[in-house]
Amino acid sequence: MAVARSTTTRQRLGPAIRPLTNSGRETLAALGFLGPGLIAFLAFSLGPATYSLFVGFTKWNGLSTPVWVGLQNYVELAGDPLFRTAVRNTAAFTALFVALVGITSTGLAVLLNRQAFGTSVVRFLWFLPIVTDMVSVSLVWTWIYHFRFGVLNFLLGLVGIPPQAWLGDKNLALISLVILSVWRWTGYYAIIILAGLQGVPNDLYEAAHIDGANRWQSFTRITLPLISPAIFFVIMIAMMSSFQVFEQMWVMTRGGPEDATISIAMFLYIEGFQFLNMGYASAVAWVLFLIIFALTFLNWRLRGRWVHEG
Amino acid sequence: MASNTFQPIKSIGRHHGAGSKPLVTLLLWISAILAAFPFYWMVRSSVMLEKQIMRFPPIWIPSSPTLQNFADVLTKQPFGRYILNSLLVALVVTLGQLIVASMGAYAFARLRFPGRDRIFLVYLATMIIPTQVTLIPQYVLISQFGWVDSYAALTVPFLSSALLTFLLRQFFLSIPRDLEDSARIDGAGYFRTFATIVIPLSGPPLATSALLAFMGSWTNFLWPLIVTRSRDLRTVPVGLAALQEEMSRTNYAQIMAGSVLAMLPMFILFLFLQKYIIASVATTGMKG
Repeated sequence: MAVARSTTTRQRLGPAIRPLTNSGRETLAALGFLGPGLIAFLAFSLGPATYSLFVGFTKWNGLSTPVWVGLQNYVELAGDPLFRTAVRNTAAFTALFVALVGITSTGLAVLLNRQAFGTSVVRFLWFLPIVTDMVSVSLVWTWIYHFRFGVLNFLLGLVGIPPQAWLGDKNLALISLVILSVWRWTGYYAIIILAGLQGVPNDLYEAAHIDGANRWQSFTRITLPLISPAIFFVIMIAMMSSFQVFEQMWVMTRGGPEDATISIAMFLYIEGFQFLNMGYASAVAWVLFLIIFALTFLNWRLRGRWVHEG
Repeated sequence: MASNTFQPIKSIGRHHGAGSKPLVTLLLWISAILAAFPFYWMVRSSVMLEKQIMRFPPIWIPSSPTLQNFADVLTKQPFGRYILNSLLVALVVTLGQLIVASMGAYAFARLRFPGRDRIFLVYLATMIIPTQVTLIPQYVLISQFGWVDSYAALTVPFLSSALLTFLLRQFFLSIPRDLEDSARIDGAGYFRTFATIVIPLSGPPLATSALLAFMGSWTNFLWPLIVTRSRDLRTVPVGLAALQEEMSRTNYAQIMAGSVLAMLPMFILFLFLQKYIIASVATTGMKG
């Protein structure tokens, strides 16, 4: 249809002005549609990402001209004890968080799926932590964890457990932050797993029941394999986001005590925005990216080992 | 990653799985207490005086609730201003992302142009880059524009969203092409087809996208922390963190009052849009 139109246009305009062909017009329209987004994308996403790779090879305070230093930042990072602590903390945080939130969110999803009394209210309550900003949540938990007046130590005291310095003890602080994160994200990941659970056909359970399987067997042999893609996805995004953990540490511990809770993102913030070592901080950002990328890649490679493909 | 069904979850549940029903109900409600307790403790502490909350054993239900902490917080810090800032920024970011992403998504879904699939792939690839990577060049760019400590710094860098572009593209691909074709035959241009045919059909995915954009903006902390200097430009999370920092002696009653104020707008939003917010997670989350 439009081909005919473009021929007539060409005839009318003559050869002097090159007319737009149909595909030319479509490209022009695409430019109009995509242009604003593409400009914003280049200016604030792809451009900065590329530039930060370059900055990582320089010494720069953000104002002067960056001075090329090659791999020096990366070499220094490898030997920086504080950075190594930050990587260790972040890895420990992620491992604990992903393992725990995987269990709690699967458990919650299974409970929610049973449609017991008050399911919608419980789902509402578990979703509240997610729509609340992390700073509010962190402040509340700081208060709950308070050594002398915190309600947690009071409740534990009732069953005879002595008070703990949840955020002040270097052996406990990271775990305390993990618990808060698990609490905050359980509802979110449960919703994702719930979507997977709802795709499990009911007759599979009936067949298993007839064959004499008990409930635990149905859960481990039917439910878990069938929701494994959902669990895989949860593990992936939980890992990616928890490697970037920042707010809790910033609000609750400032990386302390004795650097026990300093994370990679916090190290980056301090180097980049407090000491203005923008080159060094950019190198940190790329190390963080490489770690996340490697773990994501590894996850995909291991996917076939345990994820049930429907 | 995303499915094309943006329907809110209607019915949940089947009668199978582990555990008997009374046990399930019990566990469910124990979990609900765990979920809700920190919120209860926050509200309870916010309506008590400092010396009352520092009592051990704690008082579980305040005998004479007071709004004193709220009054103190609102006079010490321009908390109303923080909330307005957050709302303004979140609304601008949401609207901007919706317009920019839906138009971009339409180009990726429907228009043929050289390099389309390659550009789209680059969009997707940037989604796994952590925000920390772009942070420093973004900040330097913003300061070269002279935008540090301005609303522009809080909104403009968020106008492009690869995630929303991706989600909306997937949805646009699922719309039958015939509808647009007949509009095109009737002489409608690309933009009119987009605005009068495609957009009206995309209510649910646009609502999902809007909520994702809004929540993302409201809870953002690191970026506003970096680009704001003056009190008047702080968003809620930054203002709240500052409240805690600037308090010479930590007054938890007032900090809890601040936290209540900070979460109130989102709580109200969530109360009314619960179904859509939960659906937005379920749909963006699943189905590979």
